[in-house]
This record gives sequence, C-alpha cells and structure tokens, in this order.
Amino acid sequence: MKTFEYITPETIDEALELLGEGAQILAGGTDLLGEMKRGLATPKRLINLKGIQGLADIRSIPDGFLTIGSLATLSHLAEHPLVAQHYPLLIEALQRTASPQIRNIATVGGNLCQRPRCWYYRHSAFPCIRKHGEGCFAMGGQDRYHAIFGGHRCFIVHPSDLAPALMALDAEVRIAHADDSRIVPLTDFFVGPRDSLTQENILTRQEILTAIRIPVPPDNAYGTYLKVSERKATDFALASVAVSIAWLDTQVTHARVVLGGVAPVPWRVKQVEEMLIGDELSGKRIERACERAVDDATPLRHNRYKVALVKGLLRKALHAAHRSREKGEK
Amino acid sequence: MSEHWLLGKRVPRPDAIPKVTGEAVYTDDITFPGMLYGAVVRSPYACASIRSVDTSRAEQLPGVRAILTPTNSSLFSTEILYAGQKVAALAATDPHTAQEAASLIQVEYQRHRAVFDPIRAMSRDAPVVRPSRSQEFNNVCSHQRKERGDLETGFAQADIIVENTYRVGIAHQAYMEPHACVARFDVSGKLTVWTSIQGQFNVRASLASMLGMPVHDVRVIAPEIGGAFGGKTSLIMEPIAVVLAKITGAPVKIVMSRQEEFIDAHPGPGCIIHVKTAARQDGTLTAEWAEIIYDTGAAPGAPTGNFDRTRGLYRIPNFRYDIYSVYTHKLIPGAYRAPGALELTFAFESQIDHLAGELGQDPIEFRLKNAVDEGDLTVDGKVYPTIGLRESLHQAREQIKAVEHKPHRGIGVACGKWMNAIGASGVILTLNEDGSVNLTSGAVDLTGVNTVLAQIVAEELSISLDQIHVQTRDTDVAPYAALSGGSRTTYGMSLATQNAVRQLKKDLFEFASQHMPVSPEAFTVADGKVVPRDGSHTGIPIRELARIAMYSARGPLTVTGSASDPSWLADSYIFITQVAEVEVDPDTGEITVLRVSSFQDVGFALNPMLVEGQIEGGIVQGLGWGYLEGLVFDKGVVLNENLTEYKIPTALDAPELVPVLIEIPSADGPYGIKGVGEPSMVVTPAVLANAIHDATGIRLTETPLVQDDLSTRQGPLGNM
Repeated sequence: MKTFEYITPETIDEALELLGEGAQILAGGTDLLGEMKRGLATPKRLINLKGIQGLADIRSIPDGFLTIGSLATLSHLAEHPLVAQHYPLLIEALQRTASPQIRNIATVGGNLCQRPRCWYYRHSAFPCIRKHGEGCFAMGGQDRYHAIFGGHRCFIVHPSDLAPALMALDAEVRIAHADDSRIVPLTDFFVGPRDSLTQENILTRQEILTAIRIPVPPDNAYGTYLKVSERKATDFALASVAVSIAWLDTQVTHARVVLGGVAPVPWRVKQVEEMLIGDELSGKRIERACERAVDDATPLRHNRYKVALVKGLLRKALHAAHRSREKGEK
Repeated sequence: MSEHWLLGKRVPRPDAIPKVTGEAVYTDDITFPGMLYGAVVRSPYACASIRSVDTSRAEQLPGVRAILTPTNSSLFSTEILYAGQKVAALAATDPHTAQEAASLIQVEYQRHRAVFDPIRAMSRDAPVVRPSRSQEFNNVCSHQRKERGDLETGFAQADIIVENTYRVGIAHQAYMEPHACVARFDVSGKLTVWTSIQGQFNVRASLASMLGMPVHDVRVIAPEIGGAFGGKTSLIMEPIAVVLAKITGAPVKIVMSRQEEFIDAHPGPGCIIHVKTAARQDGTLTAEWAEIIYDTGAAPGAPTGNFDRTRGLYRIPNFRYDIYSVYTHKLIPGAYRAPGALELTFAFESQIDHLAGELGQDPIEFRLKNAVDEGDLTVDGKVYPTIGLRESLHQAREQIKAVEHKPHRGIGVACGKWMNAIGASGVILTLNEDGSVNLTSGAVDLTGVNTVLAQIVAEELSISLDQIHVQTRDTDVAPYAALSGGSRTTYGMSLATQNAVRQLKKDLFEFASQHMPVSPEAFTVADGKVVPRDGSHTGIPIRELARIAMYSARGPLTVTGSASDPSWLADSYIFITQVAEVEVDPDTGEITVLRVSSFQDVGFALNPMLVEGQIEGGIVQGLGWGYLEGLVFDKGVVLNENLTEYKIPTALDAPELVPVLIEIPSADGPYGIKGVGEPSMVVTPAVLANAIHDATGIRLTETPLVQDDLSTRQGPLGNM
C-alpha cells in the first residue's frame, strides 16, 4: 500500500473543502481498503467521514420520509424500528448482505458507492477498460458472474443488495457540493457503461453522498427481496429481485421491480411494472411478467443461467406478493 | 469399551482455549530485533523465458538488504512454467519496503505458447511443458495401469453399461494460517527455522540436504499451526528465507499472502475421469474401465499412488484402470486430505448410483450385492480382513428409512474407503518427582493427538489426566516423528506411547518390587498406585515411587517408546457410507444441503468428541471442494485468488452433520483404532451429486456442483 494523508473533518463543509485531485472518501472502508491493498485505489488523501456529527443518523421527518445518513451502518439500519415497521423489504436485503461483521462496519452510502466485483477489474494482471485499459476480458473469458442486461464494452454487475431494494422503495439520495446540495432519485444515481466506463454513479470529485431518503410506502404495500448466491453468506448475488407492490382491492395500483446482480446498475424493469399495474396478480399474469422481465436479456457464453434465475426469482416474489394480499383479505 | 476408564471418553482439547483466545503462538508471532522481511516477485505469464531481471531501482530503495534472482541464485529459473512462479526474492527492513522493492524489480519476459488443459496437453502437437514419459502422448508425467480379468469378456457379459466423464476442479486447502517461516543463523553457523509445517523433521532433512549441512546443525521448530490439511508437507518459502538469512546475516521472515497461497501453494489436483461400468440385469457388476487423467501442473505433485488405498469397494471380476498424470502450465498440486480419494470416489460412486438407477435397483441394495467382504481382494490383490463396509451400508439403510419424503427433496448415498499410514514415531516419557508425567513428542498436533496421548498415559498408569503434560517440541529436543499426515499421527504416536508407557510400568514394577515383597510380574496399577494383583499389599503410590527413585541408585524413571513399519500403510481398512439429504428450490433451482450423515468405521474412538469433530470438519471440506470450490483460470492466471471469490463454505452453508461411529477394531492398531484424520471428506461430493440426482433427475459430473447451469434444474420443477 502506498502512503497517504489521512484527515478526519468534523463538518461536511470541511470535508467538501478537502476534496480534490487524489482525494478519496472513506466511510466504512470495507470496499476501499480492499481496493487500496490491490492497488486499484491509490488515494493521496483519505477523508474519513466518521468524525462528522449526525452523518450516521436515521430519523423520520415530518413530511413522511425516512432519512438515512450515509454513514449509518448496515446493521444499524437493519435494526432500526422504523425500518421494521415500514420497509421489511430492506431488512431482507440487509440480512442477505455480506456477513454480520461486515454489516457492522459497512455504511449505507458506501454500499451504494461500492466498486464492481468483476474479477478482471479486481485482478492486477488484466488492464481492463474500467481501469483505463483496453477491452473487457470477461467477453469471451470467464463471464459466469457478469451482466445479462445493459452491458456495453464492459459487463460488470452492480454488486449491491441494498440498492435494488432502495430503488424499489423510490429512494432518493442527497448529494452535497460546496455550492449547493441536490436531491436525486436513486434511479438516476447509477451510471451504466454507455455513459461512463470508469465510474458507476453520478458523483463528481467535488461531491459527497450525505443521505438517502425513502418515502412512506403506499397503503397496502407489500415488498420482498430475494437473492440467489452460490454461498449462503458473504457472497454477492448471482441474481436478485426487489419487488414492491400495492393494491386497491384486487387491482395492482403500484409496482416496482428492480433486479440486482444482472446489470451494471440496479436494473429496474419498467415494462414489467407497467404490465402489472391495473390488473389482478394472477398466475398467468405472473408468468407473462417473468417472460417480459428477460425480454431484452443478452446473456454471454456462461451466464445464460441468470435469465432463468431472474424468471424464477420474480415468479417467487410475485407469488409471495399475491399470497400476502390474499392473507390480508382474510 | 468397558475395559477402559479414560479411553473412549469425551475429553476436551486443552489447546482449544489458547487458540480461540489468541494466546497461542503461531509462526508469524515470532520476531527478532533486526529481523528482515522477505518478498517474492512472481511471473504473470504461464509460459515464458526470462530475458533480463533489472534490480537497480529496487537496490536503491532504502531498507533493501539482499536481492536474489536467477542470475545469482539457483533457487530461481529463467524458464517460467506457470503464472505465479517465483522469479526473484528480496529481504528488506519491513514488509512494506519489501513489497515496494518487489514491485520495482523489472523483469523482461519472452512469452511462449502454453497449454492448460491436460487432455489437450497430451496431444502430439501440444507445447511441451516437460519431457513426456510416454511414446504415445505429450507431457505425460506418469502412467500406471491396474488390471484384473478380461475386460472384453466382462463387458460382453453385461446387460447394461454406463459411461460418463467426470471432472473435478483444483481446490485449495484454505487453511486459516498461510504459510509462514522465520530463518535465523546463530554465530556458530547453526540454522534455526520456525515454520508452519506438518512435519518438522522433513523440513530439517530437506534443508540440511539443500545446504549440505549435517542435520544436527539445522533446528526446526513448528509453533502452533493454523490448519494444513496436507498443504503443509513440503518446503515452500523456507529455502528462500534461509538463503536470505545467510547472505544478510539477519533473521528473515516470509509470510505468504492469501493471494500467493492461491497462485503458488500446492492445492488438491484437478482430475478428469472417463469411466465405463457394466453390470448384469440382476445387479452383478461384471467390468469396469477407466482412464484417469490428473492435471499435475508444472511439476510432479498429483497424488496418483493412492488408487488401491481408496478403491476396491465392490467385487468387479474384470477391470482396467489407466492412471495418467499430465503436465500443464499451471501451479503444482499436492496433498489435500486423503489425496486422490475424493475425485475417484466422486466418479466411481456416481457410476454405481447411475447403474443402480438404470437397473431400477435401490442404490444401497445394489451396493450390498457387490460389496467386498473379508477374504475378497483389494485392487492390488491383497486380502481384506474383517471390514465395515456392509455394516456402514446397513446403518445407512436404517437412517434412510426414517427420512420423511417431501417434494423437491432428494436423498443420496455413496461409499468410500481409505487406509491410514503408520510412520516413524518416537516419544519420551519422564516421571516427575510428584508423580506427574511429561510426554515429549516431535509430531505436530493438527487434530488433537496430544490430547489423546495424554489419555493413553493416564489410562495406562491409572493417574488423572491433569497429571500428564504432552508437549510437541522441536527437532533438537524431541525424538523423531514422521510428518502429521496420512491419517497416521494418532495411530503411529499412540503405538509409540503405548510402548513407552508399558515400559515405564515395567520399570516401576521392578523398582516397586524392591520395596514390596512381590515379584515385578505380579503388579498392576490402580488408583495411581502400584499394587500386587492378589491384594497382598496395599501398594505404593506412583508419586512415592517416583520420588524415592530419584534419590536412590535407580535414578529418575525415564523411558522412550518407538514405532514404525517397513510399509507406509497400516492394514486398517476404513469404510464409510454417507447419506445426504438435499432440497431444490423449484423456482430457482437453488440447492440446500439439509443433512449429511456419515457412517464411518473408526476401529475404536479413543476420544469420540475429537473423532466426531474430524468427521464433521471433513464433511464440510468435502462439501466445499465438491459443491462450491475450484480455482478459475484465464490463460493460466488464477482469477479467484482470494477468499471472497474462492468460496469456502460458511457456517450457513454447513448442513446438519450426523457422524455415526462404527467400531470394528483394527488388528494391529493400538487399542484397535483406525485413522480418522482424512477419510471423512472423500465421500461428500459423490453423495451430494447422488442426492441432487435423486431430487432432480439430473446427474452432475463436474465440480463445483453449484456451478451447474441451474436453470436446467428448473424445467420439470418450475411452475409447481
């Protein structure tokens, strides 16, 4: 590891001032330290956000939003009573993330900003396009864990379990800049390879992700997060699905379907959401939704199985939603 | 076994607490003032020649003390045969400087065409890794054939033949503690090496021979070891540390990183097994043919010599097995817990299951019909003594009967065999003046052997366990012990201890007869006393005799005990049947392993808690290799070179484990024991594949099983 300057500012403004060429933000460090050890990140200055008061707070605010400070740990979020009350879907996603030890350290903001796990990207022997090198080694190589949607010259998948769940809950992020701060829907936060081959979100070098806001879900909403991984813990998703559905009587009035582990960004399948709204959640409709979800999948040599996984996971999630509504009726 | 009061009891390991509290001292905990740290430069290419090594920038880095390259050291070659091969090494004042210096060494490579697949490597136009031992094929490292009967007749007699090709991937032992060593010369020129190793005396012999030094000038100390599983049996970084220590005059430590472990240690080998098995309609096996191709990487290392040790479970009158070991441009494999057994068991036990299915027979009845018995021949033609294969199958059958059948679930069964080694074993027993006993051993305690040796001494002397102090000491202090491997340690060391403690009793009885009017032969021990068997005297406590002896003409009571055997393997045949229960998710095809039960003949369990621990750990490791693990390569470069991407099972992946001990005493083992260190892992991949087949109808023939295209499992099950 190279030597670097380590600073712990006490306010966001101080932190913003310290940003600049060669500076990087340290939150939980569960990803960044690994990147530094492998020489993928070589910061000249590390700005530790853990000294900033209030940045780890989780609170509800009068306008009905839950606000999660970007430095809140995954365990803290999973244990928060408001989360258990309104967003069980988040707890499911958090419980399937990494391991308890990592969840005790990793932060919500860091989780959304984590770098790809692609083994070519992480490996020193492969100077791939995401490291300012040439080409994608997964194309024609060991592509079992790579994208079936949204790949373009690079086939990483977004590794977060939390991001698809938050996106299904219509979360927004607050981004601080020296001049002003802005609020951006999470759907607009992530950046695919068509827009950038070197970064996975819209944050510039002058900005810090400070909070995540989630609206109170609609009445009668049901949410679930399902994930398949090779190992039951400490493993990234082969595929995952976050679903949030609400009804009026038997008619679906609100639907969010977001896939994880299958695209360079958390992959929202709007065409499925649209076909679900306005109708009953029948078995036939569910089957059609599953087919529809993978309409535009373009699997690589060894990851065709992910197409089937997405269908299987979505089928399971929608049936669970359907069962939950029927139960609610009784 | 009621004749023992302490053997067969669940005695906890006294070394467990220091290990979990962090008190135990491992090799990396050893430091010296002025100690240097070594680092290694490795080739990124699988096949290349080194044109030049430029060390000038590294030399200028403050803190760098010595650099070894192919130019100045015979430890390194200019011919690169695998990615990760060591190219150069250096010593510096701290680990960071050492790493930085390593990155400053510029190596110019001339790259050559490489070959990675062993079958491809056998073709006549494949690049030559090393000269072939075969006229017919390229890159053959070794070939042996096992045959009996007439294959053509055997296949002609058959009503059904099943033929499959199985592939087992390269699996790392994934011990918690990476390889580490410290080398230090003292002013007299004597060398001391601390190293994480299964056998200190092996290291002493290898280093002495490499350096041209007498063995007594080399002292090897094995501190606590954080797992090994066969992966710490030979030199790996020690020669580099020793040479760096020699030229710098300072102690040198080298600790391998996890990445180095994955690219340049000695994992379990990859293997391709093409096999044809034949049977009559009534379920009688008639013939089997197999071609077994081991990927031995860049040098000999694949365990090809254990065929008879692990197969020969069924009466097959006609067979031919060709076992090849083939060079490729990959890292060099080595031993992994029952080397050679897991991959063969996976293939042959899948075949048996496949045949039983084709014949519509119950897989246990089919096995029982063909199982070997006392008097039958092993593959190599030895005669089986009393064995436990049938008993383990019977117990497995009872277990399966009790399992409730549910949708999406499957039950698999498979059998395995292993034999333990013996190995040179010596101990010293010293009776202290308070009647306590010191036992000095040179065997590295991987699995609780020291706990068991203490039980044996306490049992034989009828004194309490806390009076026995067993220590593993180094090569300067302890009597010789073969490496702790081959399931030999408890077997060999218990023999030596039994010999020693019986000699100690004899000496005690002789000394006691000077103090009681009883002849030595008429004594026994009871409640810590030497007493006449006929009760003619109340006896004298051993601690009294110990004290008196010290100040008499007799002197301290100290004995040695030894054991060995001209053959490496004991005549103890260990048979196992495992039963696995799995559940398949009908929507996703995901597999959950619910329970694995293991019915293993252990001879006699000296300490059932430790034996069960071995079996449980073995099942989980077997599940790791068979279900989850395997190195993934791209152009010879290991992609999953860390424990995030190389996935060993977590506690959540471990199923319910049911170890069932069957005790059919071995003829020659101490107290009838058989080795238990290795055999428990050999069956698990096969039993999982068979259970998955039972649940889904799909026969998986390639490890890791989890990487099967699981969508194929959904088809018939989906929409349910």
